[in-house]
Amino acid sequence: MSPYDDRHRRFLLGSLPDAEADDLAARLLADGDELEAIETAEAELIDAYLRGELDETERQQVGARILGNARGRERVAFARALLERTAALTLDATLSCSCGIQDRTAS
Amino acid sequence: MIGQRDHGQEPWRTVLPLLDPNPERAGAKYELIRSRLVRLFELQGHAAAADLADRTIDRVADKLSKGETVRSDDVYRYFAGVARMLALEVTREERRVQRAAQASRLHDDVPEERAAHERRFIALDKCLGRLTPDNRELVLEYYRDNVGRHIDARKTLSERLGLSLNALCIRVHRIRKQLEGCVHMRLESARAS
Repeated sequence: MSPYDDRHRRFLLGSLPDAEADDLAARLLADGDELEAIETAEAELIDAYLRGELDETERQQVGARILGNARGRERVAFARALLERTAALTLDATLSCSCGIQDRTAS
Repeated sequence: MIGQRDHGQEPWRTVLPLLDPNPERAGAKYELIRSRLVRLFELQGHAAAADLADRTIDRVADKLSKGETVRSDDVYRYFAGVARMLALEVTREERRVQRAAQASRLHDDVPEERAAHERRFIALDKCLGRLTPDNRELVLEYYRDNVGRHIDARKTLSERLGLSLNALCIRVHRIRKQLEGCVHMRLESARAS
C-alpha cells in the first residue's frame, strides 16, 4: 500500500490487467488508506509528467486519462504552479547562498 | 436519507441487504461505496464520475433483482467488476468528446491562460502562507527542485525526520491536498465575485 507501488501507477495509467485492476479497485472501495495511497500515487505521477520523467507511452496515457477531464487538468495546473513555485524558491535560496559566499569572499 | 437519488425504486431494495443486514449500517456503507466509486471513476479520468457511480449501483441492483447472487466477502470486488465494465462502455464516447474539447482548446486565448496561471500562483502563495511553518518548510523541502535526484533527496529528508519514505510521502500528500483545496476555494471565490 505504498504510493511507490508500481501497481498503483499502472492502475492510474490503465495498463493493469483486468483481474489485478478489479482487486485493486475492490480494495480502494473497502479501504480508505488504499484510496489515500492511490491519490498520492496520482500526485506523484502528475509531477513525473510535468518533470518530463515519463516515456512517450506513459505521457500519452496521462494525456488520455488525467488531462482528458476538468478535474485532472485542474490537478495538473495546481501541480505545475506548486513545482514552479518551489523551483523559484530553490533558485532564490541558491542565489542568496551564492551571494553570501561572494560577500564573504569579498570581505 | 441516502444520497440524492430516489431509492424508493424496487431494484434499490435489493442492494442494501447485500451491504449489511442492519439497514442503518447498510445505508452508511452505501454512502461510503458511492463516494469511493466516484473517486475511482475520477482517478480513471472519467468526466461524469458521479453519474457513473450511480449507474454502477443501479446495475448491481438490477443484476441482484434478476437473481444474481454475490458472496458477502466478495461485495467490493463485485462492485469493482461492474464499475470496470461500465467504464469500458463509456470510454470510447468520452475519448471522442475529449478530442473535440482538446481541439477547441487549441484556439484558447493564450493571454487568458497566462492570467489564470498567475492567479493560481497568487492563491498558492497565500495558501502556503496559511500553513504552519513546519508544514510549509516540509512541503518546500519535499518539492525542492533537485533535478534528476529528487528521490535521493527525499530519502535523505525522510531519514532526517525519522520517517519511512512512504510515511513522508503520505504526510506531504495530506498537506498538498490541503493546499490544493485552499487554492481551489480561492480561485472559485474570485470567479464568483
